[in-house]
Amino acid sequence: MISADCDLIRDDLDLFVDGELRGEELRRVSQHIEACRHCTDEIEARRNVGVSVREALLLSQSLQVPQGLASGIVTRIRAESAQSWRALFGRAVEDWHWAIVGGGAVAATFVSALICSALLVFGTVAPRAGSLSALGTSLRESPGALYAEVSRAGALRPEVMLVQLETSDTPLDPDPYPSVFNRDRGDEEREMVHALAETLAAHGGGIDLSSMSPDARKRAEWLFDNIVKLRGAETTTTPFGALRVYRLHLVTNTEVTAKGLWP
Amino acid sequence: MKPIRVLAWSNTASADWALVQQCAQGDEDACTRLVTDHQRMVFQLSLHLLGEQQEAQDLTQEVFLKVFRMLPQFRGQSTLRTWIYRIVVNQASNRQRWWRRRRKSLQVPLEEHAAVHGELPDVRNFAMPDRVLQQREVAGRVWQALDALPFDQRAVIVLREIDGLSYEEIATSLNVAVGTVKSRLARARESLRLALGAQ
Repeated sequence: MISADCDLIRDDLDLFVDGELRGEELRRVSQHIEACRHCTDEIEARRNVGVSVREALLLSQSLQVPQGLASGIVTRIRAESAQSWRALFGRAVEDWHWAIVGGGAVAATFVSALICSALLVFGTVAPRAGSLSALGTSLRESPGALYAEVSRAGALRPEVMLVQLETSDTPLDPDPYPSVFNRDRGDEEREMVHALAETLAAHGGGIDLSSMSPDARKRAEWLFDNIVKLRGAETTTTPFGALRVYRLHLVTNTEVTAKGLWP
Repeated sequence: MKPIRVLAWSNTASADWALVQQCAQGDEDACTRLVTDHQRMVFQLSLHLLGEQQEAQDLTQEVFLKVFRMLPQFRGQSTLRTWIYRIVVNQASNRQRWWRRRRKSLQVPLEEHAAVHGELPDVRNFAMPDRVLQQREVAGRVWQALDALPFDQRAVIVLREIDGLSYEEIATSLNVAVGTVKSRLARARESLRLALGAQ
């Protein structure tokens, strides 16, 4: 006959059959079963299910493990590991030649990148003022410069001096010094060359252009243009002796234009 | 109150861990030992979960390959045996789903089969003793009843009745709570009782 206690322990019957109950719970269920025919039958039924399952599964099928299972699996595992990425990597680095080449390429790339980065960050050293590099830079960056190639008259070998004169951005007056030179006189060109030589050179060397006044520059440029037009005299007298002017150049940015060629 | 200290691992756990480490380092003798130590257990459980010899053999191989591939993930949080049980159940579950779909698609009605191949022969063997015949008959009914169970219930009843795992071990193997094991086991037993009693 089913009692209220049967309902209370119903959920514990499987635990009792499987030996999962301990302590007080085990004692309580055991006491109830001793006095309850219904629950004893329930436990017996559960045990019979277990017996049937064990007999059916363990007796009806051959439980013989396939022969050579372990060796087959180990062989397959070995084959798989030989195909793994780690094995491929291991075979690749066996040839150290490629490792060295690869490492060298990586190192060279790294060093190049480092140098380029340093140049970008710190920049290059500024050239010395008198160096060829500085002259080239000046030629490229200057808005324009006037040069005169001269030598001392009577010298066995021409001693060419290069005198640089910065040009002014201000447009030249077509005739800024009409009172200085008389255009009707025959010695006009000679005087102009003399004046130009005095303007461009002093004390045996070129004049420091930064110390030249804007008027002096305008005057030199005016002289230059007019000398080119007249193209007459070969030599002129200066405070440091007679000079022969070979060529005059006007350099504007990167273009060099020969404006006067003396025979 | 004295602090609790772990003095040492159990012998089983340390032996498992040592074996796993040796296998992970490519020791083939250790790999062979791992297979031979557990192959009967794996094959038996595979057979009981799937019910077919050939399927169980294939599953056994599949399980050990999986075991070796997953060895680096073994952390010793459970015993190696329980960890392998979990792999067997997972693989069997996957394979069983596939097998049931395939079997369903390949099923042919008896009349259709008889029309093509003729009537089936009588397979009863009258030379067998009655006791053996009765055992076979009961076994067939049990297999049929087990086959009708959902896979999770079948796995629980096999792990409990055949492999003798505790509720906690079953829970670890199936990655479920102990309460779930308890309820599945109760439902499985009830279904089997009904199935075996009704026939």
